[in-house]
Amino acid sequence: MFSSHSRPPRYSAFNLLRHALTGNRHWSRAWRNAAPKDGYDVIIIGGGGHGLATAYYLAKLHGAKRIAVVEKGWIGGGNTGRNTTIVRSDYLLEENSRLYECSLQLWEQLSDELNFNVMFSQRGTVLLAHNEAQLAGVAQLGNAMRLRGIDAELLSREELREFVPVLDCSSATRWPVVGGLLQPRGGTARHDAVAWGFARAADALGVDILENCEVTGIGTRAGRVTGVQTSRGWIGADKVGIAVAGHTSQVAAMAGLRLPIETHLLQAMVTEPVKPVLDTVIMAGAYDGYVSQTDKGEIIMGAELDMYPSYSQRGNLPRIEKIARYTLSLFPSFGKLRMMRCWAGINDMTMDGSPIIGTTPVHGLFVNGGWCYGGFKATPGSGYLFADLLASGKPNDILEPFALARFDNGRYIDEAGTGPVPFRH
Amino acid sequence: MHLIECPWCGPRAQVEFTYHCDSEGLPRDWESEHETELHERMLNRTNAIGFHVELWNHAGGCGSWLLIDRHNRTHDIRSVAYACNGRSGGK
Repeated sequence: MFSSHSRPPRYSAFNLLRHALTGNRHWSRAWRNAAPKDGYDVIIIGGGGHGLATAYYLAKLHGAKRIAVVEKGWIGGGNTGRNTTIVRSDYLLEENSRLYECSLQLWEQLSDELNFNVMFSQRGTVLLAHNEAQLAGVAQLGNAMRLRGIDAELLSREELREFVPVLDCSSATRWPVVGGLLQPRGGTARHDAVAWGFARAADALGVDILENCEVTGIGTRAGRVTGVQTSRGWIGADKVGIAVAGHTSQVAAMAGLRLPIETHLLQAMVTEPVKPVLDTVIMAGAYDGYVSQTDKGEIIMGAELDMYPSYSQRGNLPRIEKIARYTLSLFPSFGKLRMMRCWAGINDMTMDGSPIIGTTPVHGLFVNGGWCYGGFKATPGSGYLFADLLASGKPNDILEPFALARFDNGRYIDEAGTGPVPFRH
Repeated sequence: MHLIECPWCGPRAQVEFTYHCDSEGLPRDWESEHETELHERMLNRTNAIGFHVELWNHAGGCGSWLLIDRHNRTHDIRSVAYACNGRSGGK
């Protein structure tokens, strides 16, 4: 080995056995504890899934050599570890459809790609319809998906009863189920593993991952980015990419930008773990809720936002009570479970409900944010596309509609059709 | 979750209130507002961490429209006032 540190070995059954024989005492760090250099070609602000994926694809596909990922906390400590891990690409609008399907296709090979088991489980995602109008809506969505070559199956109530035995499909419930739309390729992944896998793979390609390194300012000269001021000193760079879920407005404001983003809380919670009972992901159109069972056996659930701006990351009992009550109307048998944990994630909600990925008025500064509550499923796709943007300086066909400029020229990507009211998306 | 001191009803649970928008999004002057100002206030936000004056409605109570000066990280409330100019009582 000629480098100053030893690269982590490939994870394999052979290595697993070898380390088991020596009591697992000799595993090396998954990524280096890098110290900041004076300058880099590209700095990515935000060491979450999106930032790490961007660094990985930049190094792997675009041959970029000097890359740093700057993270204020620790890897996997932000929104990457706070989401409900659902992956799907069931979008009606073509722009969203192309973005999330690009991501889903990357998910399907991600464990092999990273040599890290991200536990991507294609258990299917089911969007429930609770009345005839909603059924027509999900049928339209399914048709739009199939026309684009994306898998979708319309399920009747009887088919749902068979597919999800634990779901109450009787007509006497608060939200009677009349049918649903299944995306068989959708599913869940282990969110921490996604961050760790990308961090390890990016590090192996020479990316410096700088933890506990908070960006406090963005340097510009004559409309051009020059680097970032951090809690660990000044770091110069010609290109800077912002990929910070939950604080996009704050970081962008360091470069004098005002974005069409408002930040809201989203609650999530898990019950105590139980034996396998729900082997798919259920999303209820009636209250925008979602329920699935983790690999550990916990029932994980969430629903709509708290409906007022907040950065507090706190629980909100009325919302938690509402989500639990609605979940029980679909799954009465879960009433015997005890709630184990609840938490909140902070969501950068854009004015049209779709992310902002593109160039900014500052030359060399790029933004990737405003993922609302849909960021996790986009992780590999977002990184892949943002890396392409950082390398070429120009958005490709998929990214072009998501430019910040769409708000100036009125080309909104408003999937929910609710207008510029960010917490209604 | 907040306890909000409604000037008409007294302290009430936050679930009775609905958030409408940041006061940045409210028009200063309907009559003379230019298109670019409308665009700016409808779409862009400072979204800074700190106190913001926001428009709320006591929908599950007296129905008053209120301006609430609230911190978006600590959830401290500095003041609650009627949104209607010049009205100190009534709805």
